[in-house]
Amino acid sequence: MRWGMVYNLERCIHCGGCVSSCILANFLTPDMKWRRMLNREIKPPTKGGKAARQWLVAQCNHCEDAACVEACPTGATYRREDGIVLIDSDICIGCRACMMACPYQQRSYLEEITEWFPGQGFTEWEQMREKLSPKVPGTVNKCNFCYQRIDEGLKKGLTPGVDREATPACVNGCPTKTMAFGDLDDPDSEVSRLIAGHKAEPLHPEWGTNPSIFYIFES
Amino acid sequence: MYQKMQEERERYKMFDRGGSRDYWAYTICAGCYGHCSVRIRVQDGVLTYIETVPDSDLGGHGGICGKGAATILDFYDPNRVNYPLKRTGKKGIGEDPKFVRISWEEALDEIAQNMKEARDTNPLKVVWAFTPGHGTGLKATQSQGGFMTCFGSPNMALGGPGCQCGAVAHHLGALVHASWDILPDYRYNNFLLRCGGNEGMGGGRIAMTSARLFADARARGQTTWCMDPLGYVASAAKSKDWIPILPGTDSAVFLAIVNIIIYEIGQFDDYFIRHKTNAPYLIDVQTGLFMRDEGEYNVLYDESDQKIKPYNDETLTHPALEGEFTYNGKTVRPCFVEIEEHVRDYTPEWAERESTVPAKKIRQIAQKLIDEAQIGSTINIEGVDVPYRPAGLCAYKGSQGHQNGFHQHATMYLINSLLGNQDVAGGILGEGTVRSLGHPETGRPQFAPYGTTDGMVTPAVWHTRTPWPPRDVNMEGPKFVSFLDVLADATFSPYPYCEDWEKVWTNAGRPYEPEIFYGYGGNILRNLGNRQIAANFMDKMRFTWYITTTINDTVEAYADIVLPECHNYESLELWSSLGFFFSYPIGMDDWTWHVRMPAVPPQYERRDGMDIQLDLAERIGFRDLYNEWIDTYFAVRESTWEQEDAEDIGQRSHSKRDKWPIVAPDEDIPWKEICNRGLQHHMNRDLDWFVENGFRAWKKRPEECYWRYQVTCRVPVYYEHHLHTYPNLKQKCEELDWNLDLRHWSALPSYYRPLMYEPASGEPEDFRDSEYDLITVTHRDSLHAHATTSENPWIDEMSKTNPYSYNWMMHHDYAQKKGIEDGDWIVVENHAGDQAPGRVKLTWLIHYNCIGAVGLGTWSKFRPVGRDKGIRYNELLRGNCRNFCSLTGSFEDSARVRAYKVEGEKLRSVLDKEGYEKLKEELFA
Repeated sequence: MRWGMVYNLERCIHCGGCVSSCILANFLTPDMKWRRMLNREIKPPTKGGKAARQWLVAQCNHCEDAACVEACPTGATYRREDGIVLIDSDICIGCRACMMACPYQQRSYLEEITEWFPGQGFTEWEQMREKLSPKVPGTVNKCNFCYQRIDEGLKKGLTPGVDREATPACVNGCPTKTMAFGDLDDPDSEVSRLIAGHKAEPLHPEWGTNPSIFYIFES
Repeated sequence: MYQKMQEERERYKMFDRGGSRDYWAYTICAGCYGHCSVRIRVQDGVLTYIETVPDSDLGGHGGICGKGAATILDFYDPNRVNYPLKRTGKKGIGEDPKFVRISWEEALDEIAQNMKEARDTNPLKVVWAFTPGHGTGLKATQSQGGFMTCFGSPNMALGGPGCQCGAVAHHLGALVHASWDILPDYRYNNFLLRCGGNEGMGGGRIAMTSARLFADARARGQTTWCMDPLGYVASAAKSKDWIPILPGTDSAVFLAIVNIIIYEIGQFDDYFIRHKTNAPYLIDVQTGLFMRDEGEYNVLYDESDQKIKPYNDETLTHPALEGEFTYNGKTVRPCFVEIEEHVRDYTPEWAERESTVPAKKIRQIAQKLIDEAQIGSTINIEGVDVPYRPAGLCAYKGSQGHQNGFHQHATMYLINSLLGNQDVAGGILGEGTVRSLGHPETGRPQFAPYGTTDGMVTPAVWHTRTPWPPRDVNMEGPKFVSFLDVLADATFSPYPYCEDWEKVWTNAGRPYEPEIFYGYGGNILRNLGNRQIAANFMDKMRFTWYITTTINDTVEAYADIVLPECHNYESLELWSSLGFFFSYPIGMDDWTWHVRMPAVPPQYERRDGMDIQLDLAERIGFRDLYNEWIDTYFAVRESTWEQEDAEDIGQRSHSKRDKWPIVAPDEDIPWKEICNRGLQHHMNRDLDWFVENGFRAWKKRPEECYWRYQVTCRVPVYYEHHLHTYPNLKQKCEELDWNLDLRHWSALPSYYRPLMYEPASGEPEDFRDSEYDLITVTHRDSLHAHATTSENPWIDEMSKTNPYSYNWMMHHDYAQKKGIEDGDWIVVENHAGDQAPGRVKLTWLIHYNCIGAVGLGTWSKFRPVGRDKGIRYNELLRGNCRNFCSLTGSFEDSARVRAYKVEGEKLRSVLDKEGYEKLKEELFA
């Protein structure tokens, strides 16, 4: 069992639906960057040649050989048996060694819990954070694959990636079904079939971290 | 507490779901007028999560765009208006309004008194405008017009929300598709030439429905080519080929494509052209006017029996497209011959010179369209054989937003007619609903387009002017400050926010002095063009009142009274959209009936906009008329609702109607009950049922979706009615000394180079050789389409990391020539000296002679997040008689400009002059 995700970038319109859905589902603060919308332009190879704009959304890659896990001096960052890399906020001391170690720069440090409308107080939505998804200042944070949804869903007999209730919010939130979520170890799962059928690749495989996030780049 | 509001609070209490601590509330997204259905998680009375309804076709099947999901934060924006406010400060841009809280009684008393005074003297003194945005009730667009016409003033002064929107798309959408707009039939389309517009990429109506369907199409191998000045916009980025073009020259390419189809390829949908368009109608070769028989029916030549007969003759078999005949002593021929001869000189080589699109590429496009259209084929969809034309051209804002807007799209529609792809499988469909056979249980809503005068198709459901038969010029006019009664064909107009409005109004004898402005959510100063020009009109208003959720730039500068409106997530509408013509699932997606319903009861002293208007109608004394309008509109009982009709509503005899399914004129029932009755009337379910179950869906039939061959009607390829209107308009313009560009009133779809390319005094002939050698282009970023969104912190966050959102975009090579580097501050300046400063991002993905930006840049102190973010693009656009399409009112959204680098004190002085207070503080702290 190894949870993973495949982005079919042919389908992505860069609308930010996954980003906002992630913020909502996890009650993120302005300093918690769990998903990053990245852009780049391909310079035309020759005068008159074709330029192109490419985009993708980057997140924690939940690497099999996670540099962050290696770097963490307290064991706060750990990798579960199902492949999800998590941070235990009770153990994290905020040293940020993991941030330095992560080659993908997908970790954020939460110095303090700040307002989305600076200087104007916490909105009622933000006030629900403490009850529904409390954060610990002075610790590092990142995408957790909405592991609570997965765990709770499995208890109910649901299938993550198939049943919405057991699927990460970003996947549910995508209007174009860009992302698929499932078990990378199951050759019949949608993610495995997509990877096999479309030559999906992780970002920077040469870094040797063996990510669980794959991308099908546009032809 | 105000008595009426207290009663409303009781009525809306049901929306707390009996005090349930955790529930999903069904409603409609408030992010834009894409109108996706959504369900919102409410926990302890707080909106905590949102997604589109997974099992509804109205939306993203559970997925939602970034802007839609971010609306939860709009709802909790601490800068929202929660109580009625009254200005105690000065008026004007940059002035501190010094709003103070007042009671509802005081606010309504003052508004009603001012409105009554105007109504007793001349109701037209009250002008009005709306825009959906930032949670402002989308119902504004449907309810304010009814409210004000019943009041006695159809004196709409929309400005930007109309003329910068789909002025052409809606006009021609109605004439050709009996619809509000067009979209590709994503399910079956194989090849699309996208010519401006971000539909399917987060922009446009049915935003996420479109995005979902388009993604599926790409996944199955559908191909799009995008002809656009901007290559970084999503629709270009996702296309297989980006074809850069000079703004406003699309019609040159389109005419060249017609030329190639007729003269080089020699293949088109012959049957469609003969039987579904007016191409075979005979015209007098001397005048260009249609020939008609004694019954006033257009005549054509039937090749089968070699007789001239009316288009609706039952023996008609094979209308001629060629030949010359004699009829009533005149030499006549099919107007298609005129079109053929007309396009002969529009060669690809000529089009290349105008547009910069290579002739070779134009030929490729034409051939690709013909190859992919599969002319003559049919497809069986759910047991019904329908014509199959899986190729076409689709455009929206980009190519139409020009001074030659009508012809930009009329030429495109001509190609689609030649392909025979209109409202058939795989082709281009009217967006919104056009034909409905009704829910199987109720038979409602039921409507269908029909052929009327000249056999032309006419929409069945339409909330603006019926587009056919066209109106004539009001020779007594102008009656309205928009001049729309003189601009015979237009539904929108940039007036009165134009620099020559004062002159024309004076030349018309100053029919009256407008003095009251009623705004429903709109932001006139920011949404139209140069804000000072708009301010010049607003300065005339002695009293301005607004219904709004936030204090935008116009409210800050001019509102005397501000009424706090419910956000969309605490307000109620009978349906999901503005009516059936707007934002409904297209193609073979299911029919749905969703309702905008409060996720939670209204908070503070906010009130539903309809409750406010019903209250005011009663206070001012026209509730009976407003009820009549409401019943007409929401029961969909009349196929048309024209502004002219609405003017006469007071003279209508109530007794002529035997039933009032929604509300009778003499009834005093609240908005909630009106919605309840409407739901029962159409869907045989009451509001309680919808609160509990969310929505109704039912299967669409191919005959509804692909209606073109189900309805006896034709569409224009030859716009003969222009020739009738032209002499009167010309005379009127001469009377008013109003220098409109009247060349466009031709019957033939033609090319007119936009006037911005004309050399100014002393300039060289080719603009590219002048100092002002750039053309501005704006686009609808999916995060910012259709609404004021930079105030939302999540959207702001995403925009700050997207180089294409907040910056000027300039071509690398152009920048190098000018010594401008990536990240520099530049000033973009038009001939009038209007300036729009901004940071520049260099790109390869823009036409060399273009400079692009998303139009943003709010300055209101009540919008602290969005303030001074992005480019104030509109500052460069000056409304006047030369900067809009005189046929449709479409505003020229591009300006010819120069750009130069600024830094240090020079930058500070520009920011100072243009009023960028916050930005100046940040840059020069």
